[in-house]
Amino acid sequence: MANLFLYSVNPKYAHDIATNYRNGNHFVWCSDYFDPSTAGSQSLAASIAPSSNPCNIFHILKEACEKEDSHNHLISGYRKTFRRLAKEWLADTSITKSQFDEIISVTKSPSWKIWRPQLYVISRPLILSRLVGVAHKSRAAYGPEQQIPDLQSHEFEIIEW
Amino acid sequence: MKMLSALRTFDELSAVGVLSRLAFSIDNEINPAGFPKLPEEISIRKKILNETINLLGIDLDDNSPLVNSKIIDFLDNECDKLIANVDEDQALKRLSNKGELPSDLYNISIIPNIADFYGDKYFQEEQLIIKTVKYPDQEKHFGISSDQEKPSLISLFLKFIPNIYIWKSFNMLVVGQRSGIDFEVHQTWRLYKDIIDIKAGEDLVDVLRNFAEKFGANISVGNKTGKFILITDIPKGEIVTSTFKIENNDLNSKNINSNKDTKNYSISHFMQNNEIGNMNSAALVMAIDLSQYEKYIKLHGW
Repeated sequence: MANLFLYSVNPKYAHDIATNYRNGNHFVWCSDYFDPSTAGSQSLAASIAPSSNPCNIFHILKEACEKEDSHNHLISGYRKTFRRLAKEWLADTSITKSQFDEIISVTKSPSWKIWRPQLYVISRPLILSRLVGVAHKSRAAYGPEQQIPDLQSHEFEIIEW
Repeated sequence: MKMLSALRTFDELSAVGVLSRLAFSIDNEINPAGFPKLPEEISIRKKILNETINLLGIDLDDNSPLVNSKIIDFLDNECDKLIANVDEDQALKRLSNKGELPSDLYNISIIPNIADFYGDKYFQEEQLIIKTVKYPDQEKHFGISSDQEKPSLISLFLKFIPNIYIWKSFNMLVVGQRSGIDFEVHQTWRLYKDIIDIKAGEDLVDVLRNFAEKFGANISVGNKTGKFILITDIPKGEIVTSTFKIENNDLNSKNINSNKDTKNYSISHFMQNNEIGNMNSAALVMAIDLSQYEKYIKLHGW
């Protein structure tokens, strides 16, 4: 039986951007398992890559923020992604130059708060028809990975600790 | 602006779109942000990639992650060249005005009255104030408001400060005024659960109001009276005294104290200057009995 919830971990700034500039639309990668590493060896979950494990991502981000690790590869990746997204949105005129400047300025700033991890607990029944399974060749490992291209704020709860 | 030759037929903004989508598609081919949007975009991508590989002197057979990362960085840089400079200072100020600036970017200052109150223990309190503002559990911001019934540029932050002894654990409430990326702390209160029990998600203005109900006296400002006044008009030029003494025959005594000694009340408020008309506003006005508050926090091991 499919799990009732899906789990996705993202830095706080992803939610800020979705809320302030994208009408509450979130693009997320998600998993049926919060911590696939605890699954039995016969389970599909056991073959999910550590880099796609929500629990791992959460702890890596949390520790990086607590220790202000400026070389953290996850944060560097998010920083580049948000900047590139801002460029694309500027190009398709879905954000203004002022909004573009705001996103670039925040991602360049010394804020650590924006990289703090948030766990999204997503109600599977609410988004089932929009859940996209990721093809094998695009996954980090054999284990299943999924995307929701247009997750709305009311379809999940955020947990931070 | 000099562009890659494959993009010369495009205006700068369209070229930015093509480059950023291409960078996304190399980074992760199933990322929808990398899907082509223009009819001829796939062939343009091939031309851009050929030109990039030539410019970077990359071996055509090498498609290792390192090479991909070099190409992506190059495309990102080409994009940056096509976009007008970013005015970071103005952008951060704008965010602050909207109440959307990450709070760990504020330049925090604290009014001297707070240091006076905490005396020798101020250093510890200062650290807690900074921690609460930078990493709150909950925050509320009032943006620039033309509505005279709403405070303007005021922020409230709440953070739980745990202790191994439950009776010493408390929520720290910090309230202050924003100006650009500066944040001046005007109020800081320790809220212990026995008196102020905060419900999850409770509006921080209501938390402050509850605090004023417990430790405040009735105060009249402008045409309003109460233990907590969210906002009220006062004539321009009128000065609200920051601290004053009041005898304990105050209406509030039943709630706080029954002894007859003189109490030290502090009027806390935020002045809001209105450009139009002959009235200013005072926001979040309350008269707190500091001596009673001090007894309360001492009772909890402060």
